[in-house]
Amino acid sequence: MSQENIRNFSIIAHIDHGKSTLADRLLEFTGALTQREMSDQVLDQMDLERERGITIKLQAVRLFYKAKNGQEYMLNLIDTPGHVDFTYEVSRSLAACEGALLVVDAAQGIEAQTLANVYLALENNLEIIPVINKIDLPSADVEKAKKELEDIIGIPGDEAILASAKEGLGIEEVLEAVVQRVPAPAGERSISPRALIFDSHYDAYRGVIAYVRVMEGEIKERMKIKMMSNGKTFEVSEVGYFRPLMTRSSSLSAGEVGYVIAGVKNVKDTRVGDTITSAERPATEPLPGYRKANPMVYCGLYPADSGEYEDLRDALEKLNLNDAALTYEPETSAALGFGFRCGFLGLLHMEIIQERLEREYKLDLITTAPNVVYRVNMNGGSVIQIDNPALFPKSADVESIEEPFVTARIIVPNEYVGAVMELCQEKRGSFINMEYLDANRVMLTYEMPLSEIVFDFFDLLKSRTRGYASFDYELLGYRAAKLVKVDILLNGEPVDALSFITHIDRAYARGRELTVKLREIIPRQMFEVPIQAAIGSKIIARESIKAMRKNVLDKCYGGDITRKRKLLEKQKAGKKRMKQVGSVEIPQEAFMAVLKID
Amino acid sequence: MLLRGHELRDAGHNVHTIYVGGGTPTVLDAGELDRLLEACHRHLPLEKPEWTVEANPGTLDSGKIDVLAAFGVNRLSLGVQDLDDRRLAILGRRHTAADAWRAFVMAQKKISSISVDIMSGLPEQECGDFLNTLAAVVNWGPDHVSVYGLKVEEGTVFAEQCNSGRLCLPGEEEVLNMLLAGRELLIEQGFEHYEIANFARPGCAGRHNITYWRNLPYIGVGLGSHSYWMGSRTVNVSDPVAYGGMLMDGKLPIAETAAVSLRQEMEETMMLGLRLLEGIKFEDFACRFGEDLRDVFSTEILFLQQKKLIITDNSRIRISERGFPVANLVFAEFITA
Repeated sequence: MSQENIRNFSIIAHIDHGKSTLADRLLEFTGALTQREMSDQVLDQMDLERERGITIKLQAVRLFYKAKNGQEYMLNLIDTPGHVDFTYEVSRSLAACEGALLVVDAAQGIEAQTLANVYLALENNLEIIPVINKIDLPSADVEKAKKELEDIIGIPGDEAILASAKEGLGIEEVLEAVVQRVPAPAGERSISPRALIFDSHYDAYRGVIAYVRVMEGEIKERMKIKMMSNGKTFEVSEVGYFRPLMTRSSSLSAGEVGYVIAGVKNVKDTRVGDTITSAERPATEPLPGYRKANPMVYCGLYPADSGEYEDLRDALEKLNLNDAALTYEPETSAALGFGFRCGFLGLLHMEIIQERLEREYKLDLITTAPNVVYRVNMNGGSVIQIDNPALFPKSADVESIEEPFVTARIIVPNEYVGAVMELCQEKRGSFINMEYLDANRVMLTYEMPLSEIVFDFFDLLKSRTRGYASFDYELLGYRAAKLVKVDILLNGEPVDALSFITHIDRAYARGRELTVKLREIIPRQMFEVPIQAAIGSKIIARESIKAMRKNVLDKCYGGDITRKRKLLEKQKAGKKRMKQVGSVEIPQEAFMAVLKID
Repeated sequence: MLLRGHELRDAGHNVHTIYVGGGTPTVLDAGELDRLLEACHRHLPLEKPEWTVEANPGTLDSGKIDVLAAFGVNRLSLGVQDLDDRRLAILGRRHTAADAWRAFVMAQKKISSISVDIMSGLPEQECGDFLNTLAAVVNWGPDHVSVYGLKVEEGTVFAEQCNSGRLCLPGEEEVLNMLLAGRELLIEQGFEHYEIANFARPGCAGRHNITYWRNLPYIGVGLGSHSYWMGSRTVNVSDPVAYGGMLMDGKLPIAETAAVSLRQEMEETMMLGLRLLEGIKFEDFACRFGEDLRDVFSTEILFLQQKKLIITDNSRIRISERGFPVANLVFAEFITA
């Protein structure tokens, strides 16, 4: 098909604003799938994605549409993840497009995460087509949504298409707008090829499948290709596109979106953002935008049953095949035994990996509280990165410590501004800006330590604003802070997996709260167990768990036996989920308790 | 009862113990008691049974005692609970301390063995109160005493009163002191502590309940009663109409049946047998299962020995003095979920 008749676009939307439903309708309308073939929300393939209503892995699909002008068009829809953790993926998929549909919920208005992605789209010079969705809802307020588009993003409200993906309203209008407003891709077809990898996934039978947008030239079967970031070469065994099922074709040329299979065994060799070129006739410069996604949040993952260590390693290896952003290193904890220190893009990424390990790989995990990466300037002038509180150096050796800061944007109804300001203040935030989006919504901008967000910020924000706040952040850089490591001692013995790093002003309060929380969580033992919090050798808080003195079933006669057995089974099952640390038995949730304080 | 009687006879078994319980069978009047006990004689292959009837001091009179004695009831379990009338009222008991004493004296004339139930851990009860009650009741001359701690079931009015602070329950430490001091008092008075909650003069341990703790078979008759028979645990239907209907059809009125696997049987033998202070004889276990319990439960035994919660010698395993207040921890070791 001529380049003139190709349109590449993606959809930007906040969680629940109807992105997946709209995508489904577009597929249905253009006949990519018959209604019978559709399961709801085709593009969200993982169970987890469907359950949480989010898109984790990108998808791309080719649609054919006969426009009202009588011409046939090839429309490539590239789905984007809607969460802050995956900003880099979003920016790559946007770089593969010329236009974006901005979906706004007619009842909810624009949210913080949408905004972040709109900025990314504008940076990539994308044509933005606003779609006001869910106009069928009784609470829909189209005029207000239009005004927000104008005031917040600066797009004339009249340009918005009114739609209800659920009811199938406005779908044809959306397709027409894509054809008319999104520019056709540019790019010479005859020169050396350059193709942007915007996603990849590992298939057990075919190896790595790279999702690409060809910017220039052509990629064909049997061609020798080169990855421009590392110079590795491969031979293309197949190219094609998604309909949404994989459909083989002879070549992909400039302007087209599709997949490349080239016998690559490791997704690390098809990093998102890398450029594919010809090995024989290579381009001189890669496309802009390859960078390695660095983990921002770390936690320890340990098998509850130490016999499952190998299984955990295998599972992490498999997940890593499809998710190069996940990192893992073996580590040993005196309390938890052998496990892994894992790095994630953000909290959601962490939760998703944990859930997949437990669900898809049936692993029973103990997770330590998440933490950020600290930069420690040592007295000798050397700098070390610390991603595990247990490995924090002695304060005598430390010159200064830096921690990552973020810019946080929070959109919230008027009446909660006070509550949010208070929360941000508690979390060591510094106020930057406050902006009225409309008569009753406000956007607050703060600079905050990421470590405070990794603590329970999101939960607190939700509960203090009754779920009305939306929130987004981006990394700002490292800043010096007065931080200390707090150790927790049980029965006089430090438990490495419970250590945490905190600002010195918060250390006493957090130490106290955590010891109280642990006293509630850890069941009584046969002896009294002191719980202490300490900075170095200085004890800053102390609680104790009283010894269990009496636990006996007085009556056990003929009618009681089955019930008593069940009771004991339950008691035993609870015990099985505990970790023996020294002489103390600790339930698994204790290792996350530091998150539950404040 | 008729159906079960046939079953027993066909299998060549006799009934060695009977326990008429389920609350207070003495709410029945003398005539009804007569019919019940007569039916036992008519339908069951009795062989000089130990025959116990549970009694509430508030519902016992000399007429009923005569009926019991006439049919061969030789053991009475009397629910005295406490000798403080105010606390008895809080517990919802209709009898007073005086009623309990009168009932005891009346029964003692006709029935050879009398057991009393005493409760600890009651609202407003201190260790001294409990010991006074125990000493006074022991003075009456029972040959068997059961001591039960009060267990407050969630969702009852009683639980609500305790939670709201209108009733003040003694703390765990205080209740433990009651148990330990009460145990000492009874032992001084010549009782043997033979099961976690039960004390008897030598030779007077209840044979019926020992059947449960030895994990031996028994048959329950009546609404909602439990049986352990032919390798299964069963529960009878508790709705009277359904129960009657099934009997009319000539069927056993069983609502639930659970087969007990060999492994479960071993575990339950441990869970129940360790309730007896004399413990479990290795030889008995080996005769029954063909395996030595020290092999079957080697890790569990080692673990509990290290914690000094059980004691083993050449012939048996038993719970230690340190172990019995936390016996649940010991039992739980032997149970696999």
